[in-house]
Formats: sequence, structure tokens, C-alpha cells
Amino acid sequence: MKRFTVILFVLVLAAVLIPTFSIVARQAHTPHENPATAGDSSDVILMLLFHGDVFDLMLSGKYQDAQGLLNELQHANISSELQYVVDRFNALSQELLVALDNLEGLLNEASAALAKYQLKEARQMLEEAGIILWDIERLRVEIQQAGDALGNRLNITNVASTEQLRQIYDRLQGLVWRLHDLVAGFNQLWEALSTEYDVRVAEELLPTNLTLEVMPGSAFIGDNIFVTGRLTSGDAPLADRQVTVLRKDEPMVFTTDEDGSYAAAIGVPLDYVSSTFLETRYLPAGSDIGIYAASISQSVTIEIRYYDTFLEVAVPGLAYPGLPVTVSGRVSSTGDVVERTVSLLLDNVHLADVQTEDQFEFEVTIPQDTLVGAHGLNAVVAPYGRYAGTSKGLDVRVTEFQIEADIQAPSLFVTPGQVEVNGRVHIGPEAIAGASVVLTFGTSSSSIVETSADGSFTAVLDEPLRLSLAGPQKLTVGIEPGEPYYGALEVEKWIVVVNPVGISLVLVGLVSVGLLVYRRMTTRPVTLLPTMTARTPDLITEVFPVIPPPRPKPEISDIRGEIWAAYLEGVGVVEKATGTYLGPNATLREFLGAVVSQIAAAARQPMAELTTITEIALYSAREPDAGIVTDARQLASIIRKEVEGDAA
Amino acid sequence: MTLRRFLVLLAVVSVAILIVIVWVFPSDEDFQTKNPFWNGSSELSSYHSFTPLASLAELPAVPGGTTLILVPYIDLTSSELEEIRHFVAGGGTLVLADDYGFGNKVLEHLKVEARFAGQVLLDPLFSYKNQWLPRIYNLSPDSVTGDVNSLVFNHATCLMDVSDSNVLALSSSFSFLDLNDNEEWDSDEPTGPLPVISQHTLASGRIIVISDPSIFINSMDTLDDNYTIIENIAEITSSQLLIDQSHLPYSDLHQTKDVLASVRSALTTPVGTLALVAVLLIITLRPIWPRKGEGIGDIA
Repeated sequence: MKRFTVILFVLVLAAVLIPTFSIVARQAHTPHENPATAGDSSDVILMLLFHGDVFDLMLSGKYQDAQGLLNELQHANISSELQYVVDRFNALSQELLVALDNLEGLLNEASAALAKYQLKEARQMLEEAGIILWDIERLRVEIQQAGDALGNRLNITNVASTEQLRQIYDRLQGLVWRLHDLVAGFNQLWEALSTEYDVRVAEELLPTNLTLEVMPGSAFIGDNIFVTGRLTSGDAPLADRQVTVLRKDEPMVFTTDEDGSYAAAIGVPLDYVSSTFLETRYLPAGSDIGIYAASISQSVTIEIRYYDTFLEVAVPGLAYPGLPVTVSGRVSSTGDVVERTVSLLLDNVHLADVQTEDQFEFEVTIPQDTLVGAHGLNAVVAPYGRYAGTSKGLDVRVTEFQIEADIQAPSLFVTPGQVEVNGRVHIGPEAIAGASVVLTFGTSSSSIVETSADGSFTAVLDEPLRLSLAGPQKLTVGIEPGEPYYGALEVEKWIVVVNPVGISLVLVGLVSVGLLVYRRMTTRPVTLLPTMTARTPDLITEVFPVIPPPRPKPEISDIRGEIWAAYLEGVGVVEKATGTYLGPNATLREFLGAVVSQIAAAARQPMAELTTITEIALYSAREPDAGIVTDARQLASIIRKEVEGDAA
Repeated sequence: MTLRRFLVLLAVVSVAILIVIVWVFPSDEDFQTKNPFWNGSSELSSYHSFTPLASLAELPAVPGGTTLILVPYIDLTSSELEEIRHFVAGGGTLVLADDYGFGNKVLEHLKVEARFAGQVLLDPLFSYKNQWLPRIYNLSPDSVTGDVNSLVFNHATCLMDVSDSNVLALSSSFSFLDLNDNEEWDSDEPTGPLPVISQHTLASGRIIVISDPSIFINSMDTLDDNYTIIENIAEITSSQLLIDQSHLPYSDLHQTKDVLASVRSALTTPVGTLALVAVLLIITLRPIWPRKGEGIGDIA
């Protein structure tokens, strides 16, 4: 026992310590932590430093760089208590950067316009710049307030001036204050340009006049039209000056002749719109600057003519991946019949082109990898010279043919062994060859086969011996046809699997347990009597012999013995009265059943009670109470009295 | 019942309960595709057709179009390193994700100059929640980084000796490599931007080096665009997408599960089942087995 305890203790100790050793052997650095439960911490000092860098770049006029840096702050980890103020600070800074960038650009452009005496444009730009300047001043004040709010949240007034946080905050505030100087600089520039504008306006420039005529007023798209005009100042022609014809976004420059006239043929732009307009502009250049004023001609509207194109298209409502569909239709126009190109696109992916003059019909194959569902098919007729283009969109539903499978598999299977599964894959009467069939039985057995030319397949699945006794197991047959227009199919079947080895094992176990219990029940009374001899192995002894069997008298050494003695006393009286004897192989209950109808009615209940008391005393694991002995003796006495009295 | 018999019974019942618990309780090891917890990679196999690879010997003979994700937390043998070299040289794509494991051994064998720094990369400003979870938003356009705006790493390291042309992702300017593990920047510690993802070539194969394998765990793939980079890795794979399981941390639970699985598979063979039947019969019939001088069922 001691050795057993020691072994058990050692095993438990080893089980406790082994995991500890393996933990010690792990990596020095933590490979990761759970981000959901990771602690929050943000570095305010670095955030302020970062904002300082942004303002530094801003003050250096590197607005684009500053914007790029500020955009990075969206990735920063900022504590929730500062998040709003910082977000607001960033938004204002971003707004300010955009405004400063625009202002700088406008002032530069205004300066250039003034230099070219484009006074009208210069005035517009300066007005716009004035509004932005006002906005910038507002933003500057708000940023300053946001900076103060940030300082309050950080309780910065209570932070010693020698501490890093305070130093970096003060740097940021200093940079914000310097914004005032930057804005003041821009204000001065704006005022200077405004003054220059006033000076230029006050100058007595010679007015110029520019005319424009267009012939014809209506033209087909792509045709040439003729523009003519004259540049004069008062009555004097301005020769050898450059005038610009503004045609949408394509300016064309021409030079005036000695008469101040200009003439040119220009093409009508290939925009299929009903009209467009032209105008001409003169900007003083070289020695003309400061002498002549700029001028612009009146706008001339040109009617643009072209032929409308009409398209009719029809496609089947259903299409299949990898299979062709017939697209038919007709292209027509208000002009002559010409050859046109019709392009077909599926979900904006080009599929095919077809040349046609009128009606068309052609086949186009739906790509194999097209997903099942609704798709957009677009037919596009490209513009062609005077003929405008057009397009038409249609909805096409891409689907797959639903295949069928006839599966033959046993409904009952005895393990271990092989399950043979046969089947045929078809769609109506047509067999599907070359389809991949994946069979899975239970969790461990699987097989992949291919259907033959007639669509049939045979697969054999190994089913090893399992611990389960019997039960249904799922057979899954997945069929993936080789052709993209056939849909995949999955068929499930349940097969009852019987495990004879397992069942035998359980039966043997149950029989063994039953046998054990039976033996214990039948042998227990004998073994409990310490003074009785072991049961004789003579199995043919009668249960109830006609002559009294020799019955050894027990030594009355304990409570059980005394109860047994009382029982034997009662039994002796009954045996004598009935002639039925308690055999060595009979149980007490069997004896009671045999004699109860033969004894006096008044003795039956006491005999049954005495039998029960004796059984409990003999078979119970607990030692019976001493009081039971008295009850047993009383019952034996009653039996004697009733049975003998009845006999008398 | 004697004390001895009671202790034996108690031990048997305890072992049985422990076996059931071990069998039923899911795997909890880092990066294991069977681990559904925060540190597992079970979601990879549910989102994509990731195939767990039990051994590098199972790498395909024709690796073109195949991608192998390798997290080398356990040392690799020479033959395993050679298997990897064959795989990459044959046209396969190796995604080598490591921080403090044996990634440098793989890089050395593949003759790639880049190395894992092996120290923690911290970013006190551009991070998710804290400096151990740095946010990576400086990304070069590539098929691996396409549509990725930012990534979140978890207790990552950085890469060293990577040429600019090979860099796919950099940490922020505020990040630094914590060489002395004091969680603060010291003047001798390198500061960002530091390379964290790079790509290299070997013959017709491609090597993508990631300085943090944690982007593949369940709790990380939902952060920022971590899932997109996993999708991108899946999309550059035209054949198999393999994830090595043989060089991942191996816990006692996993070992015990393996032992139980071996026992179970042994018992499901005909010989094993018959042996089990025999043992159970002996145990069951032992009480009524006749001893010397007794018949069946006799009890002394």
C-alpha cells in the first residue's frame, strides 16, 4: 500500500511540473497579445510634437508636405478624452492648409494677370483672395482656441516649464502664434496687388476692339468653318498681333495682318452636341503692355449637325457560362447607310465586335468564369464621322443547367469493409461524361472518381472498423461537371452502419455482468453464514426435498446468526407441518412461495415478514440492529403458535 | 471497498474525465488552424481554402502557383530548409512571417540578405491601442499590398538589410526598435521608417517577408486592412494555398491530443479493436474467472 501511494504521488507531481518546464522553454518576447483586451495608452507628447512639425512645414510654405503629414494623423492612437479636440484641431489645420495653398495660388495668378493687364481677371482673383484671407484669419483664431482647449485638457498650466510635455506644448503654441505673421504677410501682398490693380485701372490705356464672324453658321461635325475678324484701336488697325480663338478647351492662336484682320479655317469639334460657341481674345504683349487694353470679341453660336444613330438589340434572357448566345439587332441612322461597328460588352468587359450596315446577328460566347446571376450586356455603336454613336443596355441572367444523379448505395453496411457506390450523372437523357465525383463517407473515407462516357461511375470507399455499434452515417456525393454551363450537384444519402465486433463486445460484457450478478445473488446467503460449509457442487439436488436435509446449526455469535436461528426455528415448524423442506439450492423467497399456501392463514404474514427480515439481515452490507433479533424471535413464536395450533 | 480499490477507481475516473476534456477542448496554440480562439488561425481556413501542411515533406513537387505561409517558431532541419529552397526555386511563393523565431535561418539558407531584427518594434504614436500594436500605413503598390490602406501588427519586429526596391511596407517615422526592451526610445536605437514587409526573388520563385506573423491570427484579421492583405496573398495563388503547421508552438494539450488521436486510430484498426475487446472481456470476466481449485462462479 505504501509503495502504491508513493507511485501515485510521483505521478501527480510529474503531471504538475511537466507543463511548467515547457513554459520556461518558450520565447523571450511575447509573440502577440489579444488586441481586444490590450490596454489603451497613447503618447500625448509625440502627438504635440507631430502637430508642431505640421505647423513648421506650414510656416515654411510647404503646404502640400504639411497636408501629407497631417493626413498621417488618422493612423495615430489618440486617447478618447483628447480625441475630439485633436480631431477638431486636425480638421481646422487641414482647412487652413487648403486655404493657404489656394490663397498663395490666387495671389500669384493675380500678380501675373496684372502684369499682362488682364485687369478683369485680376480683379476677380483679388476679390476671391480677399474672401479666403478673411476665412484664414477666422481659422487661425479657431486653431488658437483649439490649442488652448488642448492645453486645458492636458492641465498644462500645472505642468512645470522644465517638463518635456510643457516644452513641446509651448513650441506648438509658439508656432500657432507665428501663423499670425504668416497671415499678415499674405495680407500685405494682397494689399500691394490691390494697389497695383488700382494703379493699372487708373492708367489711360488705349481701348481695343476685336470682331469675329463665322461662316457658315451651321456645319456638320468634323467640317471646316471659316472664322474672320479684325483687331483695331480706335480706327487704327493693330497689325501683327496675336489673337486667340477660344474653342471649348482648345485655344487656337492666329496673327493679324497689316489690316489688323485675321482669317482661319477651323474644324467643328467632334462633340455630338446641337451647338457650340466661339469667341476671340486679345491680350497685350511685349511693347503693347501699358499701351493697349485687352479685349474679347462677342460670342458666336454655331449650330452643329450630325446624324443620329438608332440601335435595336435582342438577346435571350438566359445565358450559360461557356456557351454562345445569339445577339441580333439593327443599326440605323438619319443619314445614308454606312458600315458601323457594334461592340458587345458584358459587365463592361469587351466580348466581341461586329461590322454591319443594317441588321446583324452574331454569336458571342459567355466567358466560362462568369458567375451565375444577373449581368449587364451593353451593345455600343461607336461614332463614325457625321454619325453619332449610341448604346443600349440589356439585362442577361446567367445560369447553369441543373444536372441529375442516380446514386446506388447500400442502405445497410457491415463494418469493416468497402462500400461500393454506383451512379450515373445525366441531364435528361443526355449523359454527362468527365464530371468529377467526390464521395465522402463519414469523416474519414473519401474518394474521387470521374464519370465515363455514359455518365456512370463506380467508387469504392474503405470503411475501417469503428468503435460505434450501429447508426446512420452520411454519404455525400459531390459532382462537379467539367463543362462550365453545368451546375455542381451534391447528393446526400444515409447508410446504416453496423459494427458486429462492437455489438459482440457489448453483448459479451452485458452477459458477463448478468452472470456475475446472478452468481452473487444465488451464492450470497451461503457465504454470509460464517459457520456454514460451502455449498455442495451437487447441482442436481432437489430444491425442496421430501426428507429434511442435514442442516448445520449455526453458532449464535452475532446478530445475523441470531436472526438466522430464529428463521430456522420458524422454518422447522413449517417444514414439519407442510412436509416441504428448505433445500440447499432454494432461496428463502422460493421456500416462502412454496409453503405459504399450505400453512394457516394467520401464520402467512408472520412467515413473509420473517423471510424479509432474514433476507435483509443476510444480504445487507450494514449490520442489522439488535432490535430486529427480538422481532424475528417474536415472528418465529407466532408462526409456531399458529401452525401448531392449526394442526391440533 | 478498500482504500486501495477506491484510489484506483478514482484514478481511472479522473483519467477518463481528463481524456474527454482534452479530446473535446479545442486547440489553443498560436496560429493553429484548428484553434478558434483569439490566437488561432481557424478563420483563415473558413475564409479561404488554406490547406494546413503537417510536414514540409508534403510540399508539391511542382510548386508553380502554390503559396506556402511559413511561421518558423520551431527550428528547421537541413532537409526542411532544402525542401523550402526547392519549393521557391521551382516557382512557388513563400510567405515567411516571423518575429522572434527561426526566420533568419530560412533567409540565410535562401541566400536572401534581409534579416528579421528580432527585437520589438514599438510605435508610441501610430498604433492601435498601444505601442506594441504598431500601425503600418506606408505601403508600396504591389499585388500583395493592393487595396491596403493600413495594417496593424502585434508585437512585431522589423526587417534589416532590405534594399529600397524590395520594400513593400514601412513603419511610421515615430516607430523605433526597442533594443534593450525598456519600452522607451534610447538614442542608440534605430527609428522609423523601418521596413516591415519586403519581397525577394529566387530563380522563378518569390519570397514575401513579413516581420509579424500575428496578422494571421483570428483577433487580428479584422483590424484595419489586415484581412485584405490575406485576401491578396490568396489571390496571387493560382494553385494551392498552404499554411505550415509543423513549425508552430506545440503545447502539452496539442501533444496529448495527438497521442489520443494515435490511440484512437490504432483502436479503429481490426487488430486494435480486437485487442480492446480482449482487454475489456478480461476486465469484465475477471471477478467470475475460476481460480485454482474453483469452478466458474465460485467465490471463496
